[in-house]
Amino acid sequence: MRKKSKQKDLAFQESELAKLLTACGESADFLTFQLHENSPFFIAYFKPLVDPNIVHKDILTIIKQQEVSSLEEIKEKLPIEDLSLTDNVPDIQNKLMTGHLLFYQKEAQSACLAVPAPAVEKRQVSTPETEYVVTGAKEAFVESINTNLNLVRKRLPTPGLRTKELTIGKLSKTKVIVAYIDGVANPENVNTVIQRIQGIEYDAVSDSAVLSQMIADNKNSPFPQLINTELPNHVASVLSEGKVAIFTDGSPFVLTGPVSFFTFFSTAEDYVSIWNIASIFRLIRLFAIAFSILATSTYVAILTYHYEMIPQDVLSLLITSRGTIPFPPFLEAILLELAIELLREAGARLPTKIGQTIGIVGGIVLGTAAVQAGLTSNVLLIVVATGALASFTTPVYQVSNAIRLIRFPFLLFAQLLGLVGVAVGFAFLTAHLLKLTSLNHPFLEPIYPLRVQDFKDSIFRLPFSKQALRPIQIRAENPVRFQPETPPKNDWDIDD
Amino acid sequence: MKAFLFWSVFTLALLFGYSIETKILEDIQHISAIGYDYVDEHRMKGTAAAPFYPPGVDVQPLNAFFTGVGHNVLSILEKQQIQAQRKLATGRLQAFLISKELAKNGVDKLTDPLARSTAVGRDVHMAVVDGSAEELLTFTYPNAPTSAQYLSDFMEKTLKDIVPHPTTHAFLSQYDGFGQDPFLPILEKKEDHIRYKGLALFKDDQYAGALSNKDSYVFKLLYEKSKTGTYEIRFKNKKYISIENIRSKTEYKVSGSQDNPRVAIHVSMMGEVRDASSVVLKGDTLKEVEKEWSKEMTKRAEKIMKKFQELHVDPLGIGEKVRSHFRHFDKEAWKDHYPNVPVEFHMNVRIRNTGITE
Repeated sequence: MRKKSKQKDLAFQESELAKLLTACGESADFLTFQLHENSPFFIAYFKPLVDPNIVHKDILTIIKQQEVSSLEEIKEKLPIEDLSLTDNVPDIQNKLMTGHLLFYQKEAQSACLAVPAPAVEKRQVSTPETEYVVTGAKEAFVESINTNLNLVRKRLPTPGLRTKELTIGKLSKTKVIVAYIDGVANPENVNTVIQRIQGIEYDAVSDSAVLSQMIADNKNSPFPQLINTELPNHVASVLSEGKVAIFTDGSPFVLTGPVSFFTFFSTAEDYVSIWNIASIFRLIRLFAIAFSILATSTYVAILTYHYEMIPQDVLSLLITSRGTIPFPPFLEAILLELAIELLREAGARLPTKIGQTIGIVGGIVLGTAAVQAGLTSNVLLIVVATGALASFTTPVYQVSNAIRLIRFPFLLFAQLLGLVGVAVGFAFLTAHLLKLTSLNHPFLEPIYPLRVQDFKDSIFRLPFSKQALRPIQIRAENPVRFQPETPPKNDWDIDD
Repeated sequence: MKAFLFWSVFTLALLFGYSIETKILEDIQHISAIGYDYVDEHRMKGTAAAPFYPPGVDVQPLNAFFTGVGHNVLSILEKQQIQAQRKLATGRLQAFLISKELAKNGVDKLTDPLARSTAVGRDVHMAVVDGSAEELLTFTYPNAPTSAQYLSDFMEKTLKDIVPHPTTHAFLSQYDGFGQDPFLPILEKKEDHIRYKGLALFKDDQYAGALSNKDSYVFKLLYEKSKTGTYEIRFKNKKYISIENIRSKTEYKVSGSQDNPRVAIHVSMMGEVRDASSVVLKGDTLKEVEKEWSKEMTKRAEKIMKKFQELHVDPLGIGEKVRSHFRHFDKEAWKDHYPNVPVEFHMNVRIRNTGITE
């Protein structure tokens, strides 16, 4: 009897399954044990990956109460769906790693039964962190891809909402879902996205922002060419426009595309407010970004080269405020800009409450002290602080980072060539934006190429009755959103 | 690697391979006002007011003046520079003064560098000083921290309503162009204030004559459309009525032939009664006032025009208007014609009664 079992053991140890189990057994959290003494069945699983409730209540209690003689019998008895009997070792490995319980027999060599009992750890759906909205839905995506899809499907209850699942990363095996509305989205865009995702050669893709960089049209541009959002209703509205959404497992952000430069200035809030107010706010944001990029460099250029441009009343004010400062305008501006960057970085890395304190200490105390010590002029302090403030008006976080970056070359240009330099810098920026594409669609549309029709929801946000057609930029398969009704010409009276 | 090196060197050469002189705001001494006086036939004396701003918070600028005698503007500027603590710059020049004596000898020496310079703005206010420009500039006035500030404020805010465009731009275009002669305001220092005295009329680049302070109001009315100015009318029984100009318009009509042109100047004006103490203004009286005023204005305008023709100056630009009326205009012949061209005035006046005194 003993001899026989030893022989069996030897045969088993040479099988593929055994090698896998030994490899897994190197980890402390891998469990394998015999069902009970003299039982031919063994159980193996990763303890953190399975839900102990399912293991104890639904599996072990049932199996231990009854006599079972084969894997097929276990399969029949267990009240769990999606059981699979397999002897394909790579498949078994996958199952083990995704929270399955493994029943195996030493006699049956590699054949085993995989019982799904995954432990699902997830955060509750909560309010958005980066895209805060005053009015409008306050649900935000979480790290679980199924919850995220659920949030979007809830808002678009149509079978037309198609999803394509892909797995990327040799090690991370990240689940990525490409979602689009069939018959609305341009299949070319969907295929581009799928092709690019399939082309990724990287071991671990941890986040949607990482994915976004890997499938971007221009990987060196500071501007994001796919915009990530954490608002399900934003994704729903974007999908209905004909865009493509990319869900990444483990990331509370969903990528959307193709986008244009003017998407940077549109918030979810715009669609909740009245169109004229929303349009004005978009223009303000556009102005704020331009101001943020150009303000400090223009200040440096004018003070270094073009004193003639300063009006007489401002002149004496500037001279007296700059009088005691030992640095030229360029150095003064660089120092202040760096100080602001320090504040921002420190504030971003620290917990919210300490971050706020740092902001106040840095902003108020340091600012006042620097002016009183005569290290910076209060005029520049105002300019730099307003510029920093203005860079945060865009709802897309990466864009405010991009603006932080491009201010510095502008400053250098201003110091080297004055206003001509600022113009040169602006020409470079414009050329870059003109060349940029998002999923092969022009980035600066509707300005270039000029598409007057697309002004309705880019620079402005016209009323919904005027939005009968989907944006041209996306080249939606079905460009018509709804058939606009021609209002009947009736002569109504005020007391009707 | 080679390509990278090439492009780095190329970019660096492009960015740093030149030198532009930086003009940092506070390292410069800004000349706010500059005045020129007559020394002798070939030389003049320049006075530059370049207030110095000492470092610190809430500080008042210090008066600083630099004078130099030389043949032309630039040699004077050099002499002024060697006294100044910082580099003198004319980019923020506000006022440009010429003494009357110098103006009588011709201002060509001053206007030429003014027209050539890229550093001097085109909106610099110009004026003729009755007396010494140096004295007017260097005096410490009780109502302003620096004389330059007083002067630039005075010319920008007060003279704007009295004299049509007293700037270098207007002066140079009138001086260079055909059919119009330049004019400038005359200032003088009276006790401890600057005072507007009248209008200096130029024949080419030389001072030829002047209009009184009161006549210059009428001149402005004839010259361009305006919305400013208060006029006093002498009514019956030596009673005076003040009327404020709400809006006025002028139109020049040229008729006749080229050898015998006739000019008619139509001025239509809307006025508002501001002060009519002890005069009862009703429908009929108002009409009477209108008539009276129109008569008085016509008389004044004719007097001014006569003066212009006698002096052979054309500050109203009648020559230009006549030239644009006729084809193949003979510019030389016009110079002889001008003193004898008949100019008619049509004053169309409407007066409105306002206020709660009805």
